[in-house]
Amino acid sequence: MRTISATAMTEKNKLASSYPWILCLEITVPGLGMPIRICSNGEDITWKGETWTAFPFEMDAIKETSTGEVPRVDLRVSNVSRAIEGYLHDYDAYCKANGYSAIEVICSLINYANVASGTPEVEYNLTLIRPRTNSKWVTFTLGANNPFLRRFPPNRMLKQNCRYKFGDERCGYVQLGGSGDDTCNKTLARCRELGNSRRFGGTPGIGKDGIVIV
Amino acid sequence: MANWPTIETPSIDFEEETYFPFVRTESEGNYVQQRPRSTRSRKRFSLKWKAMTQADYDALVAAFVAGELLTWTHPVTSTSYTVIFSEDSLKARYVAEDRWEVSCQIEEQ
Repeated sequence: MRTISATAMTEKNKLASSYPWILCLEITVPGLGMPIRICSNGEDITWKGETWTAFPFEMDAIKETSTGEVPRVDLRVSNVSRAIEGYLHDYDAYCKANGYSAIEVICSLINYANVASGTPEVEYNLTLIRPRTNSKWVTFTLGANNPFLRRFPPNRMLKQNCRYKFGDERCGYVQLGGSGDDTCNKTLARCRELGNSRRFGGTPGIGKDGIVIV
Repeated sequence: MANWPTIETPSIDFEEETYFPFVRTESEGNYVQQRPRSTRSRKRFSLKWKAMTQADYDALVAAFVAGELLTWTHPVTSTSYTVIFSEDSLKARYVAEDRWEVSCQIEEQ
């Protein structure tokens, strides 16, 4: 069962509380020096020693079910100033240069009566599945990591078959072009014929039979 | 941030509103549970000028079209507020020679 702090519990049970519940988002965009920290309050707040900037955003309710579904939720952040869209363009350029890396979002719900404590009442770690933008909102579809979608095993090593694409950076063979002999059938024998066996992408020394998972 | 244009103060019957939203739930037991949505309230002002000069009206329109945040001083309390025009139109009516009746809404940011 999820528990909240005694201070928040007291505020929750009051008929008229003077402290709001504030949603804080820490958006870590790869390639950006520091995370974007925004909160749903009417003014900036200081929490966990950091300043959380008041910024307009909306978030759907995060549903928790007992059927093992991976939660998915839409987060809409204001795009009137195009500030967040600028970060997304930088992120796109970063992914093209360095490969894909997910945007991580930590959603923390705090009660302002307990703002001195660095512990949120509820916290979710989500990753960006899909961003969309228009003139008013940047919509992030967020979800949790689904282990069933991960590739397993992460790498497959074959004894006689090269795993590199012919002529790419890892193969390193410089194709002459135009010549009919300039082809590869992924075998060590062919790699030797081409004089490139030093960079052969197979692993002839891994043993004889069966499958070994390391 | 720009300053509010140097124009005459609004008419005496300008309106002020303190906006502080609450989340409220009514109970069958005839009581209400509520909490604030935010730690901060905001002011909204409805300004009127009964007979503004053409020069003042032009200055106000220029500030309205610029769409910037403005520093406005409350005519009664002399408190400074950072405000923005909260409506998409600025209404005016020509009432006499070189005189406009103008009204506008501003709100604290």
